[in-house]
Formats: sequence, structure tokens, C-alpha cells
Amino acid sequence: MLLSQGSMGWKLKSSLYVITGAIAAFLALPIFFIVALSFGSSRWLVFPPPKWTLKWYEKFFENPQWIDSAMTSLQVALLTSVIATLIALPASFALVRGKFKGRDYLYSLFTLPMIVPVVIIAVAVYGVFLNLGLTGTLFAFVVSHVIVALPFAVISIINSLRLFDKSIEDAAVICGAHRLQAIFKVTFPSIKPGIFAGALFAFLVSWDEVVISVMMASPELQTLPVKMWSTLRQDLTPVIAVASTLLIFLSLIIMVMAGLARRYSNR
Amino acid sequence: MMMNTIRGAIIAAACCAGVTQGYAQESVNFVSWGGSTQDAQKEAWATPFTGKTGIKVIQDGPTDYGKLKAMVESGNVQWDIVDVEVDFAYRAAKEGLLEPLDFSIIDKSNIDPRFVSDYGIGSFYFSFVLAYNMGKISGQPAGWSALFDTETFPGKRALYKWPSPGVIELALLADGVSESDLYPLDLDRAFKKLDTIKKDIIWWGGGAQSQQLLASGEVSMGQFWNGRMFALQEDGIPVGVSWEQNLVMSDFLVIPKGAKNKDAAMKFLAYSTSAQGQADFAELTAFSPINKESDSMISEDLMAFMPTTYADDQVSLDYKYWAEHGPDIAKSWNEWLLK
Amino acid sequence: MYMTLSRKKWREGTLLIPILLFLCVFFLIPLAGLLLRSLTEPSFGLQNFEQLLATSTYVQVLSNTFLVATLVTVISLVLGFPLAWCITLMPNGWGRWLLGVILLSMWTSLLARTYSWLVLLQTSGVINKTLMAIGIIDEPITMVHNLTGVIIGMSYIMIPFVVLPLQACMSAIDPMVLQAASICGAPARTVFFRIFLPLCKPGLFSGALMVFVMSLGYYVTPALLGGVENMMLPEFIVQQIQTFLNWGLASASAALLIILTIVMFYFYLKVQTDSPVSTNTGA
Repeated sequence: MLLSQGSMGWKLKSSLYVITGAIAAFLALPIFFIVALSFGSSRWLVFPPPKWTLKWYEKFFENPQWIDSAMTSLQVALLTSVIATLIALPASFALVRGKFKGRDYLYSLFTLPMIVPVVIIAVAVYGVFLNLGLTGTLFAFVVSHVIVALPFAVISIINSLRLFDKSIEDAAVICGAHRLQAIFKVTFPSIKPGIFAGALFAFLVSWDEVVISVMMASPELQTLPVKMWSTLRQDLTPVIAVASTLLIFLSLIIMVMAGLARRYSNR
Repeated sequence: MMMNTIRGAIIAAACCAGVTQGYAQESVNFVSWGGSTQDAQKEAWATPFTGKTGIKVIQDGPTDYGKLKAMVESGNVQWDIVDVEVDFAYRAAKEGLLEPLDFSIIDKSNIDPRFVSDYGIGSFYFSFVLAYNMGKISGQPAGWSALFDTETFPGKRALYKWPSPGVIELALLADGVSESDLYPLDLDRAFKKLDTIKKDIIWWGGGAQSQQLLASGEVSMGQFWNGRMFALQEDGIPVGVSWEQNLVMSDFLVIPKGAKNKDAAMKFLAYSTSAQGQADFAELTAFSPINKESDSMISEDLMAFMPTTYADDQVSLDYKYWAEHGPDIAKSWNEWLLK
Repeated sequence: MYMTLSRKKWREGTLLIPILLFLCVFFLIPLAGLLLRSLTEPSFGLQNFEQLLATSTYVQVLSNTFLVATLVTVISLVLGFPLAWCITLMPNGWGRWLLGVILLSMWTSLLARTYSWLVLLQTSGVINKTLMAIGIIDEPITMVHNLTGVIIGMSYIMIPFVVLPLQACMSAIDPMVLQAASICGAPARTVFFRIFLPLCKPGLFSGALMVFVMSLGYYVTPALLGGVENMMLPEFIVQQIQTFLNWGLASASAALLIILTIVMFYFYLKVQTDSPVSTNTGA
């Protein structure tokens, strides 16, 4: 009765709806607010603003650094997503299918980068990359992002692989398929949502990474969060609100596309 | 004959172009704090410097002392010129993180002696001033004791959050310590004074934040960099500034040990500290020039907003004292702050 | 299928090579290098740890960190629970919209959200103005650059991390179990506390752990929304490195933070009997 709308008492039901509505508003508030802020005229974030304006949008598009850093972010996030997935996929197979001892420990090891505070990872990796002269390179960004993205890819793929019934794959093998053929033709298609989710998570982790990126950045190469962070610290101009608004629209587009893709693949 | 001269001129021009292009390969990495200060440094120093010498100036930042140390230790120094706070310049020199400056390239004869050492030279100097939002406060607060008078001037206070020269001194001055008796700093006395307004303090960590706090009325008064207040006044925000007991601080330009483009960096410093470079920068920011020759080159309207004009009210902070005792002060500071 | 045991083991080994190699070279070795500095800088010995525990600063920072992490975890659980419940109740209509809001907030740039809170919460901000207009408060309350700001900003970010596992857990509960209890005459309150809540425990537990551990190491939000007197451990580490150039002390505090986190995780794995990698145990 607590899990079906029909049989819930109206008192309980209405209070639950009201509370949830308030929390949902709490979640949506900053997002709507920042969109409004990007059109405000006040340099010092007075709200409601004296006037509405598009000048911060002009400033955003005038400054090539914003666009450049957004392109770098995209490049880094795509590479991170692909590499993290390619590394996580075989490892997940080994962990789920393998019968060797210590699998739980390996799992803990693979998810360790998620548990170790990101500040510490950033400082540690920065020290090494600096010695090797690698900071400020695409390589440094991608490698350091893969470290923190890896756990998300591993968890997501392992979860879907655990739910996949291996006997279907075995059946394909018995019917004469080579094991690899069976994996590619039978197993991969059915755990595709898990792989896709892992890749998407890895992408998002990289796309939104601030602390490590600040360390890896150089004047020629920085990601969007780095640009936003330094602007927040130094200028605090509403151009940040513009960047944020554009990011929100991008997220919306990705969400809609992901939703459509799911609907399409379910068909 | 005529043709030959023209051809000769063209060839000569082409050669010159080739030469300057050759120079353009040379570059220096200039690191500062970002924001409007670095924009001004770019406009007043980097652009004309590149025009004059052909050396490209790459802007980087923000300044990060940890990064600087890590670079020097690793031997892979990517920064050539770094804008740092003066007390750090002294501390870093002591730790062996900096290149000594070459004063055969940099002319220090006109530089205010307060703002030059063997390992660093002033970038600009500025004052911590008492500023207030006129919409929040009636009357004209003056001197640091007003900061502690929450009865007459209600509202929150904005103070600089890092344990660096400034806050301790202003608390002692407000408590009646005379300028000549400031050092060695009586930390307990300063903390006791600060305790009286501790719950009203909002600590700011960067210039933009300090501007936002005062402009939005989040705080009614506080300790600010004079240049940032000038920018607010330019923007039409009703901000009042008291220059009484203004505390003189400066930023130094330093060259990290092992910098890859040391020679070009020296040349850059020679330009940035020249009378022209300093005057141009001052015009853009209302921070004061460290080159004494520059004063006469600055427009009179602007002089009203510059520490140079209020020399009689200046209290000079002892950077060397801070370089020496900074880490210990920081320890007690943190302990007091988190109590 | 008909492979010998040793060959199969060998194959699993190869599958693990990329990830092990990657993590060793780029993660474990740098991490070990950093932690070693706590023992070697400025000279070999335990002086950094002694210094950490000798001053009240570190203890205060540590307790700040745990206080914030605990508060954020509790608040995210309390706010996340009704959300997850509603989404489970209405998987199609409004529930989908709720899920959409949660995902959108999760996918919006962390810096963008924090920046937005900074403006919303300031004394002259929209929230204070609204509260004063309705007459709930007379004076603006300070909600940013202090503990309140950190708690609001961080709970906001963490709520999705509670809702998602909790919702997965709730949707796996068979409604008939609850139905059965109420048919047997149990009042709604009893069903909630005695049956529903215990069944949600795995979801609550993993959500809470996730949030707590993430909060311990959080840097960006406290740095932007917090005051100096609420300094947390990550900011302390950054301050040691950036301002005081004290890598030894920074590494020592990093080491302690890692140890604390791993100990917590170990207990979690002990309590959670279900192996995370074995097959066919259900989601």
C-alpha cells in the first residue's frame, strides 16, 4: 500500500507530494536562476537586475578562450570516455567470469580512485607529470581524467554483466560459434546499455572535472571548468552564467538524445 | 639605377622582416593573478614589449606558489616571470626558488628602494584601505578603529583571508599601537582585538570576491585593495574610501630558478619597471608605480585615487619580518581562526 | 568452454593487464610517491604527523570535515527519500519529470551550480529578499561564506547520489509484501517503519556511504561557499601546498584522510555481505 498510489491514504499521499514538490523546486532553483542571471545587466550580480541584456553573451562569444576551452573539454571527455571503457570492459569480464581468489579486492582496487579524495589524486599526479614535463598536454588531461572516470565505467559494466545470463552465450558456443564470436554477437549487444552508461558517466566525470584539470592546465591548453574556475576566482563576471546556461542546454540536449536512443533501442 | 635602389630597399625590408620573425620565435611565460590586473599587465607591458623586441609574451596563471615550488624542484620550469606577493618573494628567495636579477639589464636607479631586492622587483604597489558602502553606512569612517566600531557603523566586515601582511597590523593600529612599535608583532593582542568583531567578519580570498561583497552590500565596510575600489567607483557604485593609515603592500615580479627564458625575462622586467611601463599600468588600474619617474606621467584625475598621493598617511608593512616569521604567524593564525 | 583451467586463468590475466598497468603507473605509484613525502620532508621521520596532531588546527579541521560530511549525509538522505519514493510510485507521469530534474541537476556543471548558490544565498540575494518580503525574517540572514552555505551547496549536489540507488532499491521491492502487511491489519505507520524502511536499507546504506565518502574529500564547494573558520581537510591540504609550500605536512594530512576513508570503506564491505562481482545475486 505504500508502493501503489491507489491504496495510499490521501493525507499521506498529499503530504508526500507537497514535500517532494518542494524538494524538486530546491533542485531546479539554481538551474533556472543561473539562466536568468545570464541575462541580467548587473556586473555585481544584483538580482533582480536593473535591466535585461545580451551583452554577456556577446562577451562570451567575443573571447576565443571560452570556445577553445570548450572544444578542449569535448576532446578530452570523448577520449577519456573511449579509453576508460576500453580498459574497463576486459577487466569487468575477468572479474565477473573469473573464478580466481581476490576478485573482491581487485574490485576495491579498481574503484579506489573514486574513494581517494580527488585533491590528493590531483596533487600526486601533478607532481609526477611535472617531473616528466607532461603538464599542459592533452595526454596529461586524458590520463588523469581516465583515473577518476575508470571506477564509474567498471561499476556500470560489471553491474550489467552480472545480470546477463551467461548460458545464452554458452548456447551460442554450443551451436558452433567461436567464444569471441559469441561474446561480440550475443553478449555485447545485451549489455550495451551498461557499456553505454559507463561511457556516458566517464564522459560526464571528465567534462565536469575541476580540481585535477586546474593542475594540468597551461595557458595554451585548458578545459572549460578550468576557465570557469579561474574566472570565478578572479573576475566573477556574469559571463560565467552565460557559460553555465549554455552548458545546461547542452546537458538537456544530451539527455533528450539519450532518452530517444533508449526508446529506439528498446523497440 | 632607380629600380636597383627600390629592389635593394625591398630586399633590405624582407631581410628585416625575416630577422624580426626570427625574434618572434623567442617567448616568455608571464604568470599573474588573472582578472583585470593581468589584463592591464598585458596591455601596459606585454603588448608594447613584444612590439619593441619581438619577444612573444604568453600569459599564464593564476599564480600558484605550490606549482612554482614544484616546478623548481622538478627542474622543469615552465614559468619565466611570476607576479607574487612581496612577502612570498622574500621567502622564496630564502628557500632558493628564485634567480637573482641582472641589474645590468634592469635599471633600478629610479626604483623606490622599498620595492626592489636581489631576487625580485616591484610589479606595482598598492594600499589596503578602509572602504565602505555608502548605502549601508552613514557618516565617514576613518582609520582602522572605525572597522572595529560596529555600534556606530553596523554591518559585516570584509577582511583579507590569507595570513599575510595586513590584518594583524590593522588590528594593532586600531588597538592604539603606534606605527613605530608595530614590529615585532604582538599576535595575542591582535587576535584579542580581532575577537571583538570575529563573528562579523567575512573573509575574502580574491579581488573579485572583495568587490562583489562590498558592491552587493553583503558587507558594509572592510579592508580592500585600493585599485579594486577604484574600479567600483568607476562603475558608479557608491563606495567611500578612507586613506587614513593606508597599509602599503606590493607585488613583486620574480624569475623562478631554472626558468627557460631567463634572458628574455630580464628584458621583460626592464620594460615593465621602466617609467613608461609603470605609468601605463597605473593609468589602467590605479595601483601605484614603483618607478619614481612615473608619477609625473600620470593624469591628475587619477592621482586622487593613488596611494602615492597619500604618502603622509602611509604605514609601510615590514615584508622582511613577514618573510621570516610568516610560517609561524600562519600557524597561530590558523589556530585562532578555527578556534 | 572446454579450455583447461590454466589456460583460462591465463586469459583472465591478460584481460586484467591493461587496467592493472594503467592504475599502477598513473595512480598507485604517484600516490605512493606523495604519501612517502610525509615521511621524508623536510627530513626523514614522523615529525609531520607529530606536528599535525600537536596543533589544535588539524584536529579542528578534521572535526569540521566530519561534521560537514555527517550533516550533508543526513540531509541528503532525508530529502532524497521522498523523492525516490515518489519516483517509484509514479514511474511514468510525474515520476519521469522528477527523474529528469534530478538528472539535469546532476549533469549541470558543478561550478555553475555552486556559482548559482553563491548569488542566491548572499545577504542581498533572492532568497533573503523573498523571505523578508513574506515576513518570515526581518533581517537578512547570512547563508553563505559559512557552514550554512557549505551544507546547502553540498547537500544539493549529493541528493542525486542518494536518490538513484535508493530508487533502484525501492523499485525492486515487491508491493505485495507491503500489501500483505496492511491486509493483516498493520497501520500505515507500522508498515512504513517495520517493513518499508528495512527493505530500503541497502539503498539507503550505499547512498549514505557514497555521499559521506565523497563529502570527506570535497574541495570545490567548500572553497567557494564556505568561510575560513569552517575549513575542511581538502582545503587544508591545498593551503599547505599552495600558500606554505609545506608538502610534508600536506602529504601527512592526505595520508590520514586516505586511511580514514579506506577504514570506513572496509567496514562497509564487511557489513555488506553481497559480493560486488559474483553473478546472479540480483541487482
